[in-house]
Amino acid sequence: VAVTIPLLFGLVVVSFFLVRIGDANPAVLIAGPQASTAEIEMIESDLGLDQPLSSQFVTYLRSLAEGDLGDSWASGRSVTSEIRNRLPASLELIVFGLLGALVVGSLLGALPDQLKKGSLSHLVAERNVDIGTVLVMAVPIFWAALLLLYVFWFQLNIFPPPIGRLPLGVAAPPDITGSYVVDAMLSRDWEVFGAALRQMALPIITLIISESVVIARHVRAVTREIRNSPYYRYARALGSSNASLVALVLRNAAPSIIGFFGIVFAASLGGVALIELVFSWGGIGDAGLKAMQRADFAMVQGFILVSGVFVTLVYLVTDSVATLLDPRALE
Amino acid sequence: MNLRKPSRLTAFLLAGSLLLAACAADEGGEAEDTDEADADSGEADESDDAEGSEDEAGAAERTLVIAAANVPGGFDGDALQPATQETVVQMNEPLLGFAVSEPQEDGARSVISSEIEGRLAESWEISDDGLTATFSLRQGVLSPFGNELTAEDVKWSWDKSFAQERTGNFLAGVANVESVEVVDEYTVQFNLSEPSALLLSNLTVYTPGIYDSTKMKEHATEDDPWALEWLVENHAGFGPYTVESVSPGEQAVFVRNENYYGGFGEPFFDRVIYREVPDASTRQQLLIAGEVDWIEGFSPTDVEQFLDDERVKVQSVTGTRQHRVMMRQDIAPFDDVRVRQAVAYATPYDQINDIVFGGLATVGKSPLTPAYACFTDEHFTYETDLDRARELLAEAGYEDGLDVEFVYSEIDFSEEGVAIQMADALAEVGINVTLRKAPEAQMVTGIEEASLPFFFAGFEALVLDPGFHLEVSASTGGVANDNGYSNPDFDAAVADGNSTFDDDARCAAFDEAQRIHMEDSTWVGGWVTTHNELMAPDIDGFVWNPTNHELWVELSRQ
Repeated sequence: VAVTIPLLFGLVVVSFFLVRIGDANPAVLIAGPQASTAEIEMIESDLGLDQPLSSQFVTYLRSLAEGDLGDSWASGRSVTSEIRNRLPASLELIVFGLLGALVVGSLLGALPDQLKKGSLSHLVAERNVDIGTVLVMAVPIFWAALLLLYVFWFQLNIFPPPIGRLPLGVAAPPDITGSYVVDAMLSRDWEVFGAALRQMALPIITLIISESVVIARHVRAVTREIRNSPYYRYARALGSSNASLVALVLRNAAPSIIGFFGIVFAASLGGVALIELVFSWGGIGDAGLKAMQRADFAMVQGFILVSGVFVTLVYLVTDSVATLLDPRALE
Repeated sequence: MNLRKPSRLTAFLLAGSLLLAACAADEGGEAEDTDEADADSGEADESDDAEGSEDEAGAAERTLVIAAANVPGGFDGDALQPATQETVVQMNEPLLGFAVSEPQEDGARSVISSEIEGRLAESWEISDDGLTATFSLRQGVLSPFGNELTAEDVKWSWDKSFAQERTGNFLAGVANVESVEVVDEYTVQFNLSEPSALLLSNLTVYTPGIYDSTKMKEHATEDDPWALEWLVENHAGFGPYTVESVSPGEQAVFVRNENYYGGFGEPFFDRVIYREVPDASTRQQLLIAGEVDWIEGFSPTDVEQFLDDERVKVQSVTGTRQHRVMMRQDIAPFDDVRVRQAVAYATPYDQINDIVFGGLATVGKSPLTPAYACFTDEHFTYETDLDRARELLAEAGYEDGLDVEFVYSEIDFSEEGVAIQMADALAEVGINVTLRKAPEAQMVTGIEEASLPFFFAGFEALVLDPGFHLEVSASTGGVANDNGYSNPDFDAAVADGNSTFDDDARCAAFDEAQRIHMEDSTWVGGWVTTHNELMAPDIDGFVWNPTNHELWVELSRQ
């Protein structure tokens, strides 16, 4: 907490001034191409943009203290309600996608070492993972998403079209958490649950593919290090069973993997924006990108603040878990 | 060996995704069943619910699905928010409308700018001094909430636009409307500061929109007297459609106004799903795959690929958008009319049309475009003539050539192409052009501050009236007069045309205005691009109108 509050305050300051550095003027965009100078000035004064930066900042801080993030001019809604509407959509993608990536990545990373060293299958697996991960990492996530869509929706029709979180004509489940999959499950509406899950499959697969390789490389590096360590060799020399050897690697690798996973997770809110764009997901990342293009200052600030809180929370959770697993992390 | 390695990874990933797909399909079994029932109704359910799925198929047939870049940011026609204009035109019924032309070869129709018809207003009368216009409203017109249209609704709605001082107020100002008063329940009077021939065409526009003021007042508060907060997700007009629901980031659903009086005809579609699909290429893929009926937001350069594609229907009409090369007469060297004329003579009009606009544009030979009444191209004297251009430059004292900077941005798709072609062409006659590409916001500010001598600007007018177009974009002080053109003779001719109600006298005045404008050579090119729409092959009935937004009430499915 001692670090968090100054950190978030710093973010508020930076985001406020950063969005105003460019010469994009929201009043010009709001007024439209046939507006007179007087009209633009009137809108500027409505938005408070005619005030000096310092007093705009004080006004912003004051409303922020009251929990008011301002209004988005493009959506006509308060930034708080925009976040409330869109954050759950992004979170469901991130949580399902990254947990999937953690499982797949850990398997990919740990798999080669489970095979008998020196055997052909070990060599093949090792090379496949090493080359494969680099190849996949080199593919931009946006392009991967488009490619998957082209093959699995457009050509093969295995997955539904990229029109968002629900197919046309399917009504949203009652709003409990904001995640359609979770809400449909909680209200036992299995039809909507299935529909939402199908819509989610391809964006999640995209996330799993792009993120699991990053995790796999880390897992490989960590487990290799453990296998070369004196305590592992000692355990092996003592004739420990294979299962207990795996357990030993897992226990020692876990804190580092979880810490790394935290970093990947924390960075995902921005990265998932492109997936949201391609799949019409309506999430916060896509909204943040659009807000930047439109000089929608309040929305951009809100997005940056949410990202800051999200990153802080993720680090808090992953650090706590890592500490539980290995108390030395506290030192 | 080497070849096998990546293929094993690919196989693994493929297997993984197939597995996930299988899981998803499995768990979504019920949903899938419903989808299929939708697709091939009747066949699948011959038994009990055959009737039910026929209903579903009927519902699908009568549902128009649109993929757009944004869910509307609100339904206040006076505010300019993403997707607001596109959807407000479906719900605001204007007082007047234009007649519609016969279908052209591809089936598309356009409004006829010279034929104005009644919509909410049944008849109208303009006083002899031109200072009052009285409208008799159609009786028995109901909003979706069952309230009948009265003169009070018209007055409340115009007062709203006056108070907001935005788009509606601007249009009111252009038509000299000072106030609106109620004469009796079904009669309303517009008071003008000076006679205006623009009034009637202005009343065909979606704003100031006529609201059901009874409903609106229910949602007005002291802080929000015009119920603008309620308008973010709701609407109360007299048009063919009304909002059913809005889910930000997802979709807005519109349903037909069951009480619609039928001014634009009976709506074929009962429901319109306006789905947010932010990525332009995804929208096009969805249209090709038959998942949606209509898409918004594509570049004119995307249209070509669909011309021979049976899965997509392309309709193109003349349109009014001009792509202009602008010169400021108050900044040297363009303060000399001979330099401006030299630029006009040096411009390769057809070559730019072919290279930049794919031959699909009309070369601009008047400040107006051919879609307007009173358009004439007979004052165009600038067929490409490099010798004449050199002569004029020499007369202006630039026989050794001159250096200028041309500024363009990315606001319009054609800007860079036009800029490069112009620079090449002008070099032939000794005008050395340096090109500068400015960010959009900088470009807008540069035009606003009148600091650019030579630049690109696009323009299309909201109101399909020659007087409006000339007044707004070329009269001294016009709000869209981007290059500060000013000539008192031109202003006088436009003012003459805009204050007379006699069609012949109007056209005579605008003919003079077009002549003066061409002689002054204040902008060149003005290439007019076609307006294009992309839709599913079974969609019919598209009518172009000056807002460039299709009216859903006019569309149907074969």
